[in-house]
Amino acid sequence: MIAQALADGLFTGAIIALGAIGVSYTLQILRFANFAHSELLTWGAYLALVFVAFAGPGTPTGPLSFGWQLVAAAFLAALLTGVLAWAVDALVFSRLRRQGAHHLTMVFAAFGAALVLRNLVVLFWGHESRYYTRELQMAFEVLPGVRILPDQVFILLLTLAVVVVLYVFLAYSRTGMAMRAAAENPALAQACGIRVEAVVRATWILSGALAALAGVFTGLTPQLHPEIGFNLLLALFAAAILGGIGSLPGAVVGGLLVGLAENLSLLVINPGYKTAMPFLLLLAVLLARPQGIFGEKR
Amino acid sequence: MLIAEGIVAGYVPGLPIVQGASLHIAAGEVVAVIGPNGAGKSTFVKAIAGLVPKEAGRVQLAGREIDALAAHEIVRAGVGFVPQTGNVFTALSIEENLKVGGHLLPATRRAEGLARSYAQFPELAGKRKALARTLSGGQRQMLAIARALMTDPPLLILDEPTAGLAPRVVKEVFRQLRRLAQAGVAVLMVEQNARAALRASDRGYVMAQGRNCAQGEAGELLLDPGIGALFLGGRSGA
Amino acid sequence: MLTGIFSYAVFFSCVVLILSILTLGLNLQWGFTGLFNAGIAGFYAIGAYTHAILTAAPQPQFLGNFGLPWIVGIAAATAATALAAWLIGLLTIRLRGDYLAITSFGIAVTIQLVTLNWEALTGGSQGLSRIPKPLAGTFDSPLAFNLWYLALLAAVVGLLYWGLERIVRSPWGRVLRAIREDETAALALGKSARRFRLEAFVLGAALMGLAGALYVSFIGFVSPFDFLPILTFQVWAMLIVGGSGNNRGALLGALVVWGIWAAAGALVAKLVPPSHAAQGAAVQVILIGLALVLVLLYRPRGLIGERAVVSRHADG
Repeated sequence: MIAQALADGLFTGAIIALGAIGVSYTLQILRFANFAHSELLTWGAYLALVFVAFAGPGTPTGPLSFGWQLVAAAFLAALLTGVLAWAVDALVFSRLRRQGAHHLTMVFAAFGAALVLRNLVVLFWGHESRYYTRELQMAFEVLPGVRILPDQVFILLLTLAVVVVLYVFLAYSRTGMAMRAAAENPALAQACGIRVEAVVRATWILSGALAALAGVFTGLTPQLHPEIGFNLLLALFAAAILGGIGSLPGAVVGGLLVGLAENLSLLVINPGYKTAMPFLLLLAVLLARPQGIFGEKR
Repeated sequence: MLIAEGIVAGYVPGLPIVQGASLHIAAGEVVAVIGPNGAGKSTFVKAIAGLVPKEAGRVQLAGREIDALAAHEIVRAGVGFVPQTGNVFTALSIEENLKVGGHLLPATRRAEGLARSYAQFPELAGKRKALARTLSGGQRQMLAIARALMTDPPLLILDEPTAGLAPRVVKEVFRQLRRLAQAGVAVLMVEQNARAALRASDRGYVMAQGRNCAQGEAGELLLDPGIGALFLGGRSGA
Repeated sequence: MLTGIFSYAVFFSCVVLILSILTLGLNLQWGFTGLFNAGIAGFYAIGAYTHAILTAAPQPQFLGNFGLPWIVGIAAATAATALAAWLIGLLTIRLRGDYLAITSFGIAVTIQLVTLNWEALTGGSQGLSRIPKPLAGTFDSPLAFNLWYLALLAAVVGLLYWGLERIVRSPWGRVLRAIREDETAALALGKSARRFRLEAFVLGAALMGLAGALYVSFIGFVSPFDFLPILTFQVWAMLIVGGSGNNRGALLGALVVWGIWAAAGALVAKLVPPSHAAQGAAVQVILIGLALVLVLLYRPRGLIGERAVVSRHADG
């Protein structure tokens, strides 16, 4: 039982980690809680659905329930969602920043933007659940008592690949280093000649793209509906803060821990309370070690 | 090298902290800006570096007008700035800090800059991969200065470089700054540690309430009883 | 036809008055203290359910439903919400602004989950019904009852407004404003700043609990779906549109925002065929979301800005 919960937690955690990376960086570099981030997840998932509606999810490759078309759709959706994220920033948040708005005004504008984005999805696609593919999958038993779907393994591997690429980019490339520097200390970064506004834009685009992938993966396991992003909102924040904001390893570890906590808690409490688990974790972190695991005491 | 005239600047438009201050500094000079707390010294030099909005005034660097440029363009134009706090990237290693300092440089010049930094600050060379947050106060200050020097700027501005440092380290910092000046860099510093700063400088400006109050050769300022009483803590001179 | 409109107007006014109590509570928390409470729906729910559980007619499947008098429910609801706010505040008051937003949001979500899942106490998704309306027996028609309730609400809101205006001008109120205006003053006051903030937080929440109790004793039943996050957003909209830091603005904002909401709803219902009701509702939310973002971008002070000097959260 525990082993199955661990496996499920791992897979959920990977998806949360992807979404949390963007939240983590926007929290640090822009210093406001972006409640609209979860809607980027939803939009990413639905944009991929549009591509799938045209090209189909593809004939199932191997044990997976889809073909390469879905993967292509996912990356296209990631691109578009990156642009969407950039557009939301350009239209709303950067304007507020230029006005010198208090960061809580930004939080509030984010609420508003989230409502608009979420309800646009309802407007275009309705409330009903949708599916990328109707293919049934056979779960296989990898260890005694632990059954997993091939799709889940694929998601985990792809997430791992994306995280590694991102890590290498941030750690070794000139732009990546500039992003890390600007995220930690925008004023000092400016004194180094870095254009902080450009870094901010790049952060939004990257966050949007990662959120889109997380959204597609959520929609794959097993369905899409307009609330999928919103349902993960607390988990994303919890993961980002738990891991320490502004840290890629932090967001990943935070995501995994939140996923594990959620699924392990199902063993003892009423499943109806599942979405409260990340929040309790968040509360504990904020009280005990507010800078998170990889964060530095400010 | 640098001429700043009639600078009016502040964080909030309409509420200037600097109310018409001026200074000039030549290549190879060390100039200290001293004065009581709240005099506007830090705001003044930050305005020169483009980090605080200016309402009025001219700034000329090597004959070129730079007062309308944005902060990152001023860096490009040849000004290195070392802030008082938050002057290193704590989550980055020493080497990464230096590399970010050389963000604007093409790869070869950046590599040269790295070599130069390690030569001038051997203590840093031994700990390239160490995270900046693990460094002592003195080492951090050295890193902060080295970071600003990566672009080989003709003008280096420092905001209270010796704040919170032990006396031995303070001496070392001033020694490094004098060495830089000998190599032709114009060194402009704001200092709370007025006496020690003046002893390390060629000239000084005294600011009070956002304006110039006195200026002159560092040695003369040190001996002036009026200045001594107000800013140097009682006894003038030694 | 005219009685229909009149009847609706009475009902509408009652709802606006209840919502304005929520807005007054939020104004105390945000407008005067700068605390970002993203969990309004949660406090509203605590007040509502406490009142419901204490006053509803006893039924075998429920733990609660004690059938107690109306006034006991009202008092208990206000007290319970105040207590909850005090506990929550102790834990979270020192968090920085957006962490407080996330935490209060999480608390509201958790409270809603409790109302959905603890069926023995809250009736789960079905909610609780047979909540007695005060003096219901005295009135023949729903309209007559609503008119009486409207008068009651008007009196309550009037009393609260008067009380809050006095509080704001009192020494306690002046300290609060100082804390809000000047962060360094707050730092200098140190621990006492926190105590003042906590008191304001608790008082604001108590108002929200009161509103919840008044709401369920007006409608007669309660369900978890009355306390969705969108309610929090609507109350915030009311405060911002009316001008935060300003009690009169809070009342006006409640009227304007709820008016627009109801009008948008009616318009959508007229124009959109019933088969697309869900989409219609979505349009309603989109309109209000857009309106709000536009107000923030172009008129950050709301309709009646506070005629005060630059405030710490002056967004412009």
